Amino acid sequence: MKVEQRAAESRSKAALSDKETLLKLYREMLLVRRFEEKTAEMYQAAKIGGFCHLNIGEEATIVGTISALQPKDYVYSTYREHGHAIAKGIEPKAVMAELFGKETGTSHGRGGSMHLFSQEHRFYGGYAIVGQALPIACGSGYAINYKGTNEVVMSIFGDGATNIGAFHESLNVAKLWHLPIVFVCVNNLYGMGTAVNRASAVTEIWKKACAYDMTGERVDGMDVLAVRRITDQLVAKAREKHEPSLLECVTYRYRGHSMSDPDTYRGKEEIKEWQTRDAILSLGEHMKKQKMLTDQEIQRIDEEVTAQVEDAVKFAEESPDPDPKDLYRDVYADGEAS
Amino acid sequence: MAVLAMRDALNQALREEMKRDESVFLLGEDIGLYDGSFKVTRGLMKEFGEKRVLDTPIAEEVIIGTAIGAAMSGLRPVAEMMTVNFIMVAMDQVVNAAAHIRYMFGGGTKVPLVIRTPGGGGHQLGAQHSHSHENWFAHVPGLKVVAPGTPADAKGMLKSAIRDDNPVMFIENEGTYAVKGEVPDGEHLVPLDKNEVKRAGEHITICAHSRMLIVAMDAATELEKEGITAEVVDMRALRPLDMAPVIESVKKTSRLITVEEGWRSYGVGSEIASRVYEEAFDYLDAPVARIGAAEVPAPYNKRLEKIAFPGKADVIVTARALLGKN
Amino acid sequence: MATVQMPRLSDSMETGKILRWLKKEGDEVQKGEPLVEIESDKANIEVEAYASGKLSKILVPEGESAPIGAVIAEIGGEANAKADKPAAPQGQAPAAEPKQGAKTSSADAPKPQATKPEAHVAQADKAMAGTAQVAAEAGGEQYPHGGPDDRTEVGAAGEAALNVIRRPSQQENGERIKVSPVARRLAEEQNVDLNRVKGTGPGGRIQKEDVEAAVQQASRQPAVTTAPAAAAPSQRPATARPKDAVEVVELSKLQTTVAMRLAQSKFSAPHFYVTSEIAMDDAVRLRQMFNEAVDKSDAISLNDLIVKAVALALTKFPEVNASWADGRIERKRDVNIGIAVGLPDRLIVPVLRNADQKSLKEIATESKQLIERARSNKASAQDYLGNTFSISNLGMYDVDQFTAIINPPDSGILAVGSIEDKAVVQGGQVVPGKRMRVTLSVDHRVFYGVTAAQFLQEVKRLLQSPMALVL
Repeated sequence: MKVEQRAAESRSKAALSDKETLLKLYREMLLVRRFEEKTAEMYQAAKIGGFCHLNIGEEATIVGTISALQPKDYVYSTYREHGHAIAKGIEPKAVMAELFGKETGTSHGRGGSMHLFSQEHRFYGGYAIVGQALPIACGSGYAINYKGTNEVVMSIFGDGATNIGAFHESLNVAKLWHLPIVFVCVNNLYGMGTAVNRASAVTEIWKKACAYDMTGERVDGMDVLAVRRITDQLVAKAREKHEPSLLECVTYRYRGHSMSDPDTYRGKEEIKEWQTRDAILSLGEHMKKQKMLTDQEIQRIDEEVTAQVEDAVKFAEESPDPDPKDLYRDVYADGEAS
Repeated sequence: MAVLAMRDALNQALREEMKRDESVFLLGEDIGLYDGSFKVTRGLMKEFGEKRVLDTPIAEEVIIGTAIGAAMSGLRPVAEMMTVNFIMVAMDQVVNAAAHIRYMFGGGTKVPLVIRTPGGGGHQLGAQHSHSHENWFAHVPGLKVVAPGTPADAKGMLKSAIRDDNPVMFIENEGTYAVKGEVPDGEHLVPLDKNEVKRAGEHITICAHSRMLIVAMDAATELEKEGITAEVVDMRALRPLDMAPVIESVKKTSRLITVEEGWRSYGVGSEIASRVYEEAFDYLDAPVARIGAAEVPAPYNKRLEKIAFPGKADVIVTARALLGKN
Repeated sequence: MATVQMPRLSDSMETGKILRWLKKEGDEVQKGEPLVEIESDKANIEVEAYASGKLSKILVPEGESAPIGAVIAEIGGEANAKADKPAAPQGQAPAAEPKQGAKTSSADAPKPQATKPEAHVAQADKAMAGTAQVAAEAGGEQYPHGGPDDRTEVGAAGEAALNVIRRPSQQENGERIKVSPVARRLAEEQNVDLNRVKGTGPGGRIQKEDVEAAVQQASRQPAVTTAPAAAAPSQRPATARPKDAVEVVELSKLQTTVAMRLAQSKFSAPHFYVTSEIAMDDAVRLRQMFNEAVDKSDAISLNDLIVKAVALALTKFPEVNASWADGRIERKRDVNIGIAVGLPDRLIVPVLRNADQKSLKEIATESKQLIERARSNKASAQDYLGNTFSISNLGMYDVDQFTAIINPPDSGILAVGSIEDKAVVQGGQVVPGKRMRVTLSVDHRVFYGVTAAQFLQEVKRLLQSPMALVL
């Protein structure tokens, strides 16, 4: 069985060197960070209800992967998706409005935190069932082949999803049908409250790809440049050769599983340890060393993205609630095709 | 007008729609090379190729999931679940995804998907191959559910379902694939939301769908010999549920029997009865009589199985009892 | 000799068509060797031989069909008389009736004959085979899977529905008449008294046809005279004297109910009685003045005054506006007065709700309506529900006083007698006065003598200062 596999890649040696790209990555990660911090605050202020899952700490796995895609490419995410939606190009204010349940949200207030969506940005959701999106992502892959176009599908999920049947079914058909899809596993070492080694027989997720004769890669999910480099390669493989792959990004979420999680299953030391490897700080340090950024500029960028987030909150606050008369709207699609 | 077996009427529908619209494609287990386990898809892979008639692994979740994703991405898939018993493996995709996606994403997308699947028992196939679950799907907002009982309706409704922009559960029946009937020539479309009287009568109303429609019609023929005329309403449209012909009929007869191949409790008959109580209470001369499968997992033994599933004798005797002619 | 039978190649197959014999008559055949290609409903399948020997006879040639289990060839038997393949199957043609399911054919397949068939037998066999062919050409499967729907007895599937229909009637205490919705509607429309209709449905339920029969019957009988108004007792229609020694009068459902409940009330509630004589001069005068000032249709009766007085008294004595309930006393907030209406054949007590909050005029109007509805049998169930105290007035029948039986779930009832002109002592003088005797029956479990007396005093006080009733 010929299998292309590569073991963990640590700090990228031949880092991406173009300042504009690095700046973009930096800014975007910081935007996600500030957005998520604000979301936590809004949740506790009862402006956001239901379940709320944050991306804090995982920014490199979000921005490093999605930035390698083109606007026409499809992204499927999970319920921990705010960062992915923003990285795919959805305006933070539309995301915040959805979290607030407003009519101006991405899903007009019907979806909430777990069901963001944008046809325009090809952000195909937002799913609350673990593993559910992988088969659906395969469907988009199949449609690309069917129509002969050259988009790519990226399906992003967590370590927990790699133990459910749908994961295996999806990897199998992706390889069988040559789907142009990159499966990105954000391994933050915990599936809700259960550590990976208590849930998965194989703890190095990238290895699971070999069961499907599929390329598996593992990367340090706290290093956005490493993530971006490998994603570029895998996306190209998918687009040009219709070869699917599985990319494991090892990272860490600083907060609990969701806003309701008391997070008693991890030690404080562990969290602190990971925070020393913070992706945003380390990119900032790297860029400062390369003379691409100064402390003042970092400060300025922070202020800008913070203002952007404040704007998003203001927009959400001022937006109207959905009209109760519209409760039944969009249960069905009207009209025939063609 | 041609006389076709149900499976051939369905085959025709698929062929015509695939010719008409290139975005229509089929996927399912053994639908291609094997021509389909019930031969509904016979000859289609040969005619349209492997891309448009996709043989899948035995993996119900990814079959439906793939269909959903493809539908969201601009295609019009027709997925086959070999029997409705197997669809349970993919219930998450059918209900949590296909049915809910349009609404929970605020109308931002649509899922023009048809899931074809036969239910029904009576061939000694045991508890895991013999049941009918259309009532489960009829319970879910976001889905459409139809269960045609004649080849003409099967062809017309499958074509309509493929052209509909919503996820449609297209319920077939293993026991009716060989049943023949007249099918109109030319473009024959049947709406997905209209039930109709298949046989007029004065004394009693019988609601039935799928294979039980045939049972009800047979019972009606027998009852006529005793001077009892039964009005048989074909409940081929289950969600949305078209009650108009039923209400009109009950206002005339004041007595109603519902027949289904699924289990009686919480079945299709329960919903029909409830709506009749709501809309025609003052016209009833007796409570609605619901006939469904005996509430056991389908037994293998031939005789046990025969009494467990509704047959025309059940309908006939119930009709007599309801009319006070015990 | 071994027979080769049409095999069942799929669970849905009923007949099969011979596509190609892979061996000729006379060839040697080995067990396990492919022998014949058969077309089932789903596919073309090569079938192997299950015996070794010479393929002595082919009974179903290429292109023909036969049902499952039919003998299609013989191995090791007698050679066929004709050398070439016959056009139609001969000899043991499969006994193929289209109506039979696959399961029975094997048992019915005729046994192979050793001798040549007679011509007429061959004719019959040919005819039967022809029928089989027609069946096969018609698509093979005549019935949905599992054979024909030939069960004639009700199965488990039908039993649940039948059990509901045939459920034995539940004996309730006769308080509800069982009527189907359409029958009830019809009865209303046709003015049929459901109490007089015999139900023929399950559990004695009155059904549409029962009401229809009653309508038919009524149209053949002369119109029944309505009961007289309370103020004209002399117009009571005479009851005919029995012709025979004993005339049995069947009770209507309602009469039965009333009988039972009265008996229940009398025997379960320990009754005691308090009588009081009330001076009605002012009340009578007030009524007269009032009625002179208004239209005839707005006139109030003495009973209306009594109803109001009792209602007001009840608001002062909530312990009287109460019920005995399983060892506890339930005091009711609302004052709903039951007004006993006596008709020749029945006693009904429509209820005037919230009598304490209504004006005399309202009480008058409503009483009239209630009584009219009750008389003409147009009362609804609502009219009879919710009484907390009742009044029975026989004053128009020249009765001095009487004791009434409490109307459940009340704990008291006031029996009202006639107003009499009699000599009374006032201020040391004997003068004429109008006196009326009322008797209060009390459920001794709920309240006692002193309360009863005080309550009655209050009623008396109000009737004797009737301006209080106008408020």
